[in-house]
Amino acid sequence: MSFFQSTTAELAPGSKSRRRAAGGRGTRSGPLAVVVLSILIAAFSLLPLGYVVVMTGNAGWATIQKLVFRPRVGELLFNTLALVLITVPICVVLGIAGAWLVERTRLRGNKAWAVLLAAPLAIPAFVNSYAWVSAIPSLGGVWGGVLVSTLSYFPLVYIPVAAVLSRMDPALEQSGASLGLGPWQVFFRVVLPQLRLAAAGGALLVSLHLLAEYGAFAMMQFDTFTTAIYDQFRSTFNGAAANMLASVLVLFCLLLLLGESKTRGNARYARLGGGAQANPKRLALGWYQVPGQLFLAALSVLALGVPLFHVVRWLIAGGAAIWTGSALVHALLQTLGYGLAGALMTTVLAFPLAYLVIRHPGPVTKVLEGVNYISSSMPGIVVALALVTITVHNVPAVYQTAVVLVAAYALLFMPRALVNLRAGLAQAPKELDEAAQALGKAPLVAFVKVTLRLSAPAAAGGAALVFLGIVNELTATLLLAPNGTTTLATEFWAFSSEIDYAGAAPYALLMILLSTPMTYLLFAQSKKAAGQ
Amino acid sequence: MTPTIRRAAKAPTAKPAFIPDPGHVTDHLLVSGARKSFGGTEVLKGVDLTVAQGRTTAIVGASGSGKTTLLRLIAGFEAADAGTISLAGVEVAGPAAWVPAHKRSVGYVAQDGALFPHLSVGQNIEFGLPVRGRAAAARVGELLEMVSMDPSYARRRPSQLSGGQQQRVALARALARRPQLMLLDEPFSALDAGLRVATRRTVSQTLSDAGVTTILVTHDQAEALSFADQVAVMRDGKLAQIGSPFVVYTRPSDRATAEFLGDAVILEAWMEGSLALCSLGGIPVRRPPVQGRVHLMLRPEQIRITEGGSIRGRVVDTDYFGPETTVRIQLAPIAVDPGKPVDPHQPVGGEVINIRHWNAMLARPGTELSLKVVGEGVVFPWSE
Amino acid sequence: MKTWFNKTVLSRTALSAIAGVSVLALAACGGSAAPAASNGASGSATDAIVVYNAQHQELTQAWVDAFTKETGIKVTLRNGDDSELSNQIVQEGAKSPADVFLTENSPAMTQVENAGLFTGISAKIQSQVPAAYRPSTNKWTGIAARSTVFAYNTTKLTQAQLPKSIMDLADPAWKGRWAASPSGADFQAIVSAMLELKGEAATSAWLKAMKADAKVYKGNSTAMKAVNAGEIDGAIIYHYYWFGDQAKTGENSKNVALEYFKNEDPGAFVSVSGGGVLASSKHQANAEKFLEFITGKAGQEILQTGTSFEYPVASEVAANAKLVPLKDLQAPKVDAAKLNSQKVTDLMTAAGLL
Repeated sequence: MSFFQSTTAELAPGSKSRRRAAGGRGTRSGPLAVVVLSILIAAFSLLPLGYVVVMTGNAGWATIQKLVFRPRVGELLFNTLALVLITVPICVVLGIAGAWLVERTRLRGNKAWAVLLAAPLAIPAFVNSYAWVSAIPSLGGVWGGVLVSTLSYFPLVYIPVAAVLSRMDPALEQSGASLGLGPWQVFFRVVLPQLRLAAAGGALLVSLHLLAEYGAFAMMQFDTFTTAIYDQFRSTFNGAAANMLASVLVLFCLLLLLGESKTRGNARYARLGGGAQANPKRLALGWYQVPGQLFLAALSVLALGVPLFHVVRWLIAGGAAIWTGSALVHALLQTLGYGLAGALMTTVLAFPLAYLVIRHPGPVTKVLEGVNYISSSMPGIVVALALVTITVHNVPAVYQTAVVLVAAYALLFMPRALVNLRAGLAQAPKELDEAAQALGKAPLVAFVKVTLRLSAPAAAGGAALVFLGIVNELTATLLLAPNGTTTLATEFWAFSSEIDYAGAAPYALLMILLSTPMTYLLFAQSKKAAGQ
Repeated sequence: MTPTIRRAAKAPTAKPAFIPDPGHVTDHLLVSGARKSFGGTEVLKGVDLTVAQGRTTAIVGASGSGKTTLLRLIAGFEAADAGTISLAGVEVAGPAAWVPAHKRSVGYVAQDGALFPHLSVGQNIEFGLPVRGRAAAARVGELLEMVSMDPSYARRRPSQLSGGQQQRVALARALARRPQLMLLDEPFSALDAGLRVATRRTVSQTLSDAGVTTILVTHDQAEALSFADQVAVMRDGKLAQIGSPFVVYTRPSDRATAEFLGDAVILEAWMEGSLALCSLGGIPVRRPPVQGRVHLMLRPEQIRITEGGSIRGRVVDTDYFGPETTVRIQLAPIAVDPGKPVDPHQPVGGEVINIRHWNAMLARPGTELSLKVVGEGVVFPWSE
Repeated sequence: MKTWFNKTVLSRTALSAIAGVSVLALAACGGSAAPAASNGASGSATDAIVVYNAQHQELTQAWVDAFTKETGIKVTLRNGDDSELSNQIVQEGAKSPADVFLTENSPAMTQVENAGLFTGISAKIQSQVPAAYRPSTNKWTGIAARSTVFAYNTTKLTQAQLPKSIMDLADPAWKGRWAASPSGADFQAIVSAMLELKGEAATSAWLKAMKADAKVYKGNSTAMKAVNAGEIDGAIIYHYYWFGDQAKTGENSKNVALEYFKNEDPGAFVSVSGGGVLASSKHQANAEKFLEFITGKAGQEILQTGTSFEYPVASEVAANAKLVPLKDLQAPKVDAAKLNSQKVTDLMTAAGLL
């Protein structure tokens, strides 16, 4: 998912160079090879959507009526809608409130709080659910879903909003104050509109995660489209009902995208005019300090404390016995292997499009970006279902191999790599490449020595984020993993669905440990990205 | 912040520090009929330009006039749609030939220097050098001295340098390969005013000492006039005029060029022979292109305040700039003999013109003055 | 200056580290998934087999470990659910990498058999497994069995209050008091038996009542846990979940007792777990050996002495002493070949349970 797609799109001034077009050879839109490659990759990324559309088309109206317009789907619709409509606003409020407290007030220990508020991302949602179900066995229904989702996903709003707040130009607020607005009015009429972009992006991310989430809800007997699709898959492999549910889910996702792009609006958010930007001033809290600290403490306890406590509790209950067995090592190695292979592959695949977007913006690039935007919203289960069906019927050679699983990961996580790569490539403007060429280096040599070199740190950051995503990925892995493959997530799932919570605990711990450095990286990256 | 520039110890006429490699032919640049369009808009509409060896040319024009595009064509970063470019007699771009940028032996200094942020100053300068090690280090020191910087700067990072220093390092980097031609793309526009002048002087000195053929692109006409041997004025994709700074300034080929290169006082006038009759009297014009009603152009510094002259005016207001003041004067209406019939070909007076004067006290608003004109004027055909 | 230096070195080191470790880890991946390999559909090692396993992983792993120990033949498991794997095998067709298919219930076996994808079982297996536990076509064999039970909370229900038949649960009196796991193949097998015994109309009505009245859980263990906690009065599950939990800590079953419907009620359905060899298998001999092992004395004794608590069905091995003997269960006679999983899925979808 694109963590900073919305924030940087507007904040980075697009036309530093008035210059257009490519060098001597190549089309206006960029070097031919790169354009073709990007188109191929974009077409590949449309496979899941294409699959759903084709399946729906083939099904015929009668089947669609029978399988889509039935009470069960109504239930799922209600559940899913309720989940999204309740969780997202709460996440937005929590995210903005937390970000504001941490970035713009004189909160004690705000540096520590900043990290703590981002940390819940290191805990996969299904581990969170596992902990909460251990604590409250009867947890379930919409409210159970809302609770666990909110606690797992509010950082997705917090992080971009905090990044924007930390870099927001105080001159805007000062202008507001000088026009007679009081502090609360300044917040609502000057600060909040600036956050619209980041908050909308975060809200979209949360919604898409909610739609795609399986493990967390399956563990607490809460049915959404994704859990129902997976149930259908378990019963019919890839029967018509599963595909129909998938098409409704996809429709949802596309509507969300539409909503987000409308909310984003077209206004400028960066400072107009020259002059250096001063650092934002922090508001003194006075006696609001204590409630503020309590609020953040409560949030952290719920989002971090509860899961960690229960994981540790089950670890202790399980004792040494759960740590033996080569299964753990095997799963760990496979997770690492897939994580690294997936991260590398995804970064490589994202490169052509990132290059085109930064160096050769134009109509073709816009279309490709749009395609990427749409395909990035597909839930894991739809991607997996599509790949399974397509490979089993059309490309049996790769069916059930690591190649398909890595391909699924690439499809799911390309946006993360893309966003980072774009930011990195923006750091390596065309002028540097040209300067290198004027100094006698052939174009390819200049590209490697200058552009690649300069964008490498950002690329590595993107790869790390993809790694994070892969470690925590469950649904696609369950469907696509080759025989004998186990990952930390699938093993965790196998144990916890048998209610062997103790057996699942070591896997949960390992997943959290692997995710922590990446989460920190994400947090650090977002701060830098907003400053582009 | 005053830049720390080491003053060149040698006199301007000393032996050039940069001795062209004997095997290296430093001939001239020839651009012929260059055309370039971007997405349907024609940016260059047929440009012809010649630059002699060792000379500096400034291409000056407003933003969007196409000057940067022309530079990029010469550098090889873009390909022209039509026309040819030859360097030292070798055709490098044209229907039959294409030499890519990295093979053209053209040095390029971009608007913001474009120093590689991941390399040190020394590594930046060495970037294009084929040698490494001690030979390269020696050359780096030599080049830094050439741009009046201390060789110890080689170890610093570009981010630790000021804007002016970065530009000079960019110049040193480009010079390292002893290019046939140096291209400077508005290299001083990103610098603060005080830094700009000093850096400009250093760069100009370095390039003339080195004897390198140079093309500078700028939108600042003062920069173009002071820096170059030859000024090419670009407007709307074509070169409106090419000539020495003195010529293009004092004898611009058309009104737009005249107004672009400096303040111009344009008056309605009628030609009679080689005299232009206007509200400031009869002004001699060398080789007038037309007769009859014309625009007469004078530079503000040609109009002086005098005692007891026949041309009178009244100060409307002044703008004080410190060393000089711009004085806006309304010329007195020219007396019309009531008895005679009104001659439509007579100047009527009453225009408001700008002149410059060093003494603000003399020109307070409301003051009545008399004026005289020094030197020749330039006329352009009349247009509404 | 220092930051840039470190960043460049770091990124270079990071990139080479990533490359290095991923090569190593993928080698480990590839090594452990050797029979599947990364680019081939069937195993490259000559004597390894691939088993599509819908049985509980622990049980099958015990079989595999013992089998490999005895014969040296390596086994790779693909774990999944009954219908997921059966549908997958049908879709894969002749290109399927599976050599053996093991299930928890028989409808999935029937589905694959009807697609013509099994090769027949060997004579040895036929001699080891009584006719009651294998289809007359002998395309596959039973390997274990489990009994449907009504697990109830002893504090909430007395003996007198228990339902006499599974069909009673459709009664509105049971509203909100019972549960099951309809998304699982286990429950779907029970429904298929009901369909076979009581017909479509009755089954459909029962399912609709279930949708209105029963609580839905994901997984039999979860359902039993909920009964234990008193969230519901009782649940339809299979017997071995209770015995398995009792053998461990018992914390999910200490308030739970099992009712066996008996009287050849659909609720007394004994589901047979199946095993078959795929006709497309490239390792027929080894696949047969595996099935022979499972249905042989050693394999069946794992059922008797192990922790799965399912019923052995072959080689005259008796069940674990703690279990109610098979013959006392009065299970209804159901022809395994007639159990129709597709119809069940359709009915359940129509009732809104799926």
